[in-house]
Amino acid sequence: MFKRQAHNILALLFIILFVNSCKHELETPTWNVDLITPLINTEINIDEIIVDDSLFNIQSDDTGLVSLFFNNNLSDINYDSLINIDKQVPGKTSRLDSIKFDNINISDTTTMGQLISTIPLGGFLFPNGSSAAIPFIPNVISSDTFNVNASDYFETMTLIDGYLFFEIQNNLPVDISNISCSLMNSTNQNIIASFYFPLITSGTSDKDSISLAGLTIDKNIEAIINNVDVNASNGNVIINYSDALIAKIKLKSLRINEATAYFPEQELSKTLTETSFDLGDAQITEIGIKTGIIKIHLVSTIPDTGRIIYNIPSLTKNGIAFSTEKIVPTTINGEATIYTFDFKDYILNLKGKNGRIGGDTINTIYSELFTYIDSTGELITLNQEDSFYYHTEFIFSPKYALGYLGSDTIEIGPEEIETTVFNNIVDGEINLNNTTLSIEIDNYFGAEANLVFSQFDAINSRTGITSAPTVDQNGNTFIGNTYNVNRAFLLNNNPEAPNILPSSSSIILDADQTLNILPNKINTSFSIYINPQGQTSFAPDFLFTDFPLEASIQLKIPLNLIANNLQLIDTADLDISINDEIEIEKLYLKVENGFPINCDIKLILLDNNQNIIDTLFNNNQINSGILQNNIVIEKSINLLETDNVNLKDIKQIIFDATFLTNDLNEYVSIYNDYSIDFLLSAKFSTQIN
Amino acid sequence: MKIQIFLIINFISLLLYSQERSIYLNSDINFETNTINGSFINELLFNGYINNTMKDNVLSINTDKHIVNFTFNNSIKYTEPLDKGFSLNFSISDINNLNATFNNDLLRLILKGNYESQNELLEFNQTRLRANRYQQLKLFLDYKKKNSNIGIGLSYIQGNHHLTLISNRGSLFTSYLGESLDLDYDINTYITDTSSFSPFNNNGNGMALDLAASISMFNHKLDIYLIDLGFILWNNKSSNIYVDSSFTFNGIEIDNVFEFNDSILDASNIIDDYDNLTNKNKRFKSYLSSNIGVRISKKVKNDRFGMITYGVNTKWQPYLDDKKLSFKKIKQGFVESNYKPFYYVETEIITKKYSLLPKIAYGGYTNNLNLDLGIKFRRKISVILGTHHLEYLFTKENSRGFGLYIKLFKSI
Repeated sequence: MFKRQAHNILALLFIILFVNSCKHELETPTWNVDLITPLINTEINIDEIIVDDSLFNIQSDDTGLVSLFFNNNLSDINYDSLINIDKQVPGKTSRLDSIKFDNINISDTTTMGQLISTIPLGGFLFPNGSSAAIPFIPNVISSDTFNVNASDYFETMTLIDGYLFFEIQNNLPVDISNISCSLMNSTNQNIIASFYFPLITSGTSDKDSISLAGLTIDKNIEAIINNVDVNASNGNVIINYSDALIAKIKLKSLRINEATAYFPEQELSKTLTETSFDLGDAQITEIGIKTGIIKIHLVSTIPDTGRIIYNIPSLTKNGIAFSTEKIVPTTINGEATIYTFDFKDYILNLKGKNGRIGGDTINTIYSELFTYIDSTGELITLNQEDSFYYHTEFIFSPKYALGYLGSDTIEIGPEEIETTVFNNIVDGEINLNNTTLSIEIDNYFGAEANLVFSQFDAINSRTGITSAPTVDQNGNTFIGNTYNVNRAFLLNNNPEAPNILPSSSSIILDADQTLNILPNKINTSFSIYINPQGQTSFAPDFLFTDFPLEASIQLKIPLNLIANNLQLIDTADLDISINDEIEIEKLYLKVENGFPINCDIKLILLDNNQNIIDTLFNNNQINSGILQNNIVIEKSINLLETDNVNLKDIKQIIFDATFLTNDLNEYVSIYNDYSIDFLLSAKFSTQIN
Repeated sequence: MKIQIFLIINFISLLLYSQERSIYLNSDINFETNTINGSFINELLFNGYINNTMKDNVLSINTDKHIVNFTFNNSIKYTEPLDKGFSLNFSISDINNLNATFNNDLLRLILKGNYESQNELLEFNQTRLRANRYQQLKLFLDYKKKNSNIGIGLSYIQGNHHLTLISNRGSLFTSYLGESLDLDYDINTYITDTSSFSPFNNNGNGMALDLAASISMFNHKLDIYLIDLGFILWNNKSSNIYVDSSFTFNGIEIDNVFEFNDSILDASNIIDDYDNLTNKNKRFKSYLSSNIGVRISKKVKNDRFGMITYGVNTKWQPYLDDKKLSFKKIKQGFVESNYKPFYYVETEIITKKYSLLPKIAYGGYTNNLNLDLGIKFRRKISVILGTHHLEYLFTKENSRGFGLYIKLFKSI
């Protein structure tokens, strides 16, 4: 009994233990680990410390001494404007009265046979081929009308001028006399002209003419022979029916007031023009065109197709003169048709027409414009008011110019040059030594020039202090002094790559005092006088716009300095995300300083609203490198540490550094092999799983 | 096809004359280590947080070889007695196994990080990790004579997933204040298709052999056995990733400290520069954890006790290689199984309605004595509930494992 109870208890206990051991659900285990790892490292040398000013760069001399070098052009002058050409040539009109119209010849023949047939029994009395004596026959032709058809030439014409010639040729074997005739428009029966010939002997002709000025003639003209008498023959004559009287009408030298006609293709006008450009007192003989266009504005009222041929012998490219031919349509509502021609890279000869009387000239372009009307083969009505109007516009921007450039004055400024190189210095002092400020002038013009500065101020806008250099290297007062710059020499006149020997000169100024105010602005203004003495050189001037007169400020600051608690502050945006599960317990910053300057740094962390989240490495000094004879021989090693870092929500870091040289009476030099190494490591605590 | 062959054979066997059939269900979970005590395991498995004291306790053992083994097996077995002393067993098993070895430095790095190891070289050579999941279909034919019996089994293996990680060399030196990290390592990884982790994916096929024999004499019964000697050949969707790298990390080198952003910290900026990595798809072979052992059983004269059994069990499971079977490889398999000879004594204490199945053992994946206790309820369906590590329930500090099992048995 007892054993059975014991067994039951044992079994129950086992089941309880078994069930108890199964009571938990399996869970993913977690634990914390502490990690330490380097985060970032960087080596910064001198050219990486000097930041944020593209106008500055770093230079080193043979000893490795580093200098800050500032170079900035004083102006960006558009020298193209000195000899720009933008001219509109006044317009010209070619009117219809200058249109030529060919002479018109019309004839009519009356044979002997026709005349004999008008005589009663004439054929019987005077058979063809017979020989007979012809008596005086009055009024052998009376009121005989024949039509003169000019429809092959015109429909109608109202003439300003012109002549009608009427000729009768007597090929009859007898004389004729009392010849009277008239010409009449068949449409309105207006008499155009009347002629009378008293006698025309056999085998001769006679003619007369009238002016057609102011008359209108139609294509159909009626010629009326009012009377012809046949004189008696002197004895028998051979009767030949084919012998005839021939009447000829000739319209000549026609000038049209209005006409509906088949106008022939013909030259309307020919204009040979020398156009002079106003370039001041410059006397330019040749221009290389950088960009250039010529616009021809054409208005044609002629209801036939107009055409131009435009030649500019003065404009050549690869030795070939410019020539073009264009069709000019009839204007609609007076709108001009504009043709634009691009003359990029052309050479413009400004000596005028080749072989001109009086020799070459200057500033002058020669052009030829021919206007035409083309025949369409249709009847076209033109009147005296129809015309061809055109005007021309020249716009040239030069690549180069040869000749005398003239005297000119270019005012530069006031101009403000900004530099940010000293912007981060917010406190303390810096003493700079042996700085130089120079104004470098390189004249690529083939002309003399003078420079006169009227302003040169260095300004620290934070402190309000202004400083200006006073005298140049020759003891001249800098402001207001005239600095002469000689002309350059052209060694090779290749427009694409000219070989120019510039004339260079320097104005050197003492800048220690100017720079010690840590300027952030330099204000300048000056004048450039081109050819101040006029035309003094026998050699032609030249100007290549890509090679101007350049003036630049050059500032050389050897990093030979004394820093007295010089405080630099810079702010950098930070864009990193920190995992919430990682807690940064410590940050370590190892700094190996190879610069001869002590430094206190702190990093101020800001959130999105510029609120301070944390300050890292506060009041930690980084010692200068170890110096021997003013040269760093070994980097100092500095370990900076900060606890409980909160890097969440950081958007900006302020780098606040204060620099102090070891001896405030001794300048230290910065050499190009100096550097400072940063290595940032962190202790993290994070939970696994 | 292989499955079909097994099923046909089994079906044929069922057609033979049979006297008593039985069916077994078994579920077994076991976690064992040679260093981590029960408290740590308890936190690791259940409570979820490992504190510094527990870390220190584990690390204080300071062994060169921490062994962790986890198995979770479920199986069903059907026994069909045949004529003339033959009987046939057919079983289907679902097997999950993880086995890892690593040294104290790696465990220290994992548990504590590298902060405490400044100016110290952490070496984690000879790190191994092996994880396996597969199903096994086994047909075992037993022949029994008067005083002996002999059996042979064949198994078809459907491999689901496998991972082998072998690192022969590894070290991390953290310089003072973390100024630099010197990492040197090689890792050779074999992993099956990772595009799907479905538990029954077929990523490989294999086979296994069982051999068993016993003889009874002088009132003792001697059993020798070799179980699950086999392999799985994983398909060509598997990957072999090899990394051999040695680099020093001094932080991300930046050119401009005033323009610092996330992209500078991009991990690819760090890793791409250093890793010498090859990755290729290839078939590979892994071995099953086979059991080889011997045991002697003797019937105790007292009716309250069943057989008392003394035995030793070993495991053979080499890491994958292409070498042919040799004595060297046989030895390699024993060593790389990370399993020491497992000595045990077990018996059965019989009562009217149930039996207690105590077992005292030493060895295996642990270095401690292990107390295994099961209780068997004899009913129409007999049930055995048990634990591999009874000591875990009483003294976690001294236990090195945790394991439970349940078995159901019914004669048909």
